[in-house]
Amino acid sequence: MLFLLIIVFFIIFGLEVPGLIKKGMWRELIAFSALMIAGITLSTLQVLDIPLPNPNKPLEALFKPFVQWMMSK
Amino acid sequence: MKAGEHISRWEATAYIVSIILTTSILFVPSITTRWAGRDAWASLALALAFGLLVALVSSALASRFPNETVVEYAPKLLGKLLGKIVGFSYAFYFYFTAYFILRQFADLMSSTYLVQTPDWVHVVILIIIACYTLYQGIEALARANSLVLLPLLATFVLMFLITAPGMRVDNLFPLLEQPLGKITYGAIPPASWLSECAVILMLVPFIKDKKNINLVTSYAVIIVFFIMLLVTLGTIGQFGPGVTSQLVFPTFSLAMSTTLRADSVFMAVWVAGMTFKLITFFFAGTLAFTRLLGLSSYRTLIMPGAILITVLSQNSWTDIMDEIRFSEETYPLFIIYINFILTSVLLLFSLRRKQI
Repeated sequence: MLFLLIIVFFIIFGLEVPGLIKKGMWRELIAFSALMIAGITLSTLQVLDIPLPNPNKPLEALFKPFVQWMMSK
Repeated sequence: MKAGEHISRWEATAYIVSIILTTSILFVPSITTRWAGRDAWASLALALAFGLLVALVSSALASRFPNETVVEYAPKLLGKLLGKIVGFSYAFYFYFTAYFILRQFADLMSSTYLVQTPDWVHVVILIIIACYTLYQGIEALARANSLVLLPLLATFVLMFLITAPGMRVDNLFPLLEQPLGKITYGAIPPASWLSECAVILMLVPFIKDKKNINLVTSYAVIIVFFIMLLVTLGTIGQFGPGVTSQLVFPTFSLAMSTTLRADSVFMAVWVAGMTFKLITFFFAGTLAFTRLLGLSSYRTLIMPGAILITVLSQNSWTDIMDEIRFSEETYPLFIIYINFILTSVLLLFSLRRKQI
């Protein structure tokens, strides 16, 4: 699975990066790379079964007081 | 999007109907009935009122900046830093909804039809279709959606008519049995789904005729309300309020209860609707991040965005019960906050700016 994932990442980089460099779109290249690094890190950890931070937790914490208030009614 | 891409007003309405209907219809009958029992219709009526309010507020804001998306004008209204934070909130909300849809799709597929197929196969197929469509542009998406919407609406009406003879009208009586408080809580989840019509804030630059945008969103909210009402009355009439509130996918159970096995038809059109919803929010999120970062083309962000929402869809919920609990508790408040509260604040600031 990890091997498959690495191949997919190489294909994506191969499709996008040369065009961005050729056109001198450096800002786009930085945004693309930053998001790709985040995506690669998260998906690799997921495939290796390493627990990831869950983005729902802060949302749940934020709205919890209101949910509790609603439930208590 | 590509320069000069335009969609008509009907296409925009159809588009909004599709994106609200496909996920809300999955859970609304059971979530609303859990609170409001047989008075779920009254909760839906309250939700309609709120949905129309959000439609008016978001259309009023969108009409003030017809050639820009909300991410672009938020910094003009609130100042650079606060505006960027608000812009990020919208961008995150669009991506969040996209990966929530992806997860709901995979869960329904793997728990009903393709039970032996691993979850990630459904997710990967859907995300590949989404990426391809995003490269094609919004015009192609809106046209295809208009074609699919009519069969989708017809399926719900037909499903109701086919199941009608087996319904017990006494399941719906006595009327207004529940206290107003419970009816109001039952209204929160459907109201939050109807508030998704605020996606007009991202769509308005692509609508050809920008007059009376409020009609585009209001018609969409009214159409979705009627379908929600049909399906909710149908499931309560068929199964009674007690059973309906316990069902995981009530609409699907209703379709399966018909002698014609309407569930396969329902599934065919529902998959298409779900795909449109995913693509719309994926597009809105990618466009929002593009404008937020000041990039020239949204295409660069399609692939990294696809990877992120795929991982997050798998990682954010432990199982289907966790997802239903989240749909019932946190999600409605989160989307009401974005679609109604943030949008109203921006509208107030835009009114103030005009006075100055």
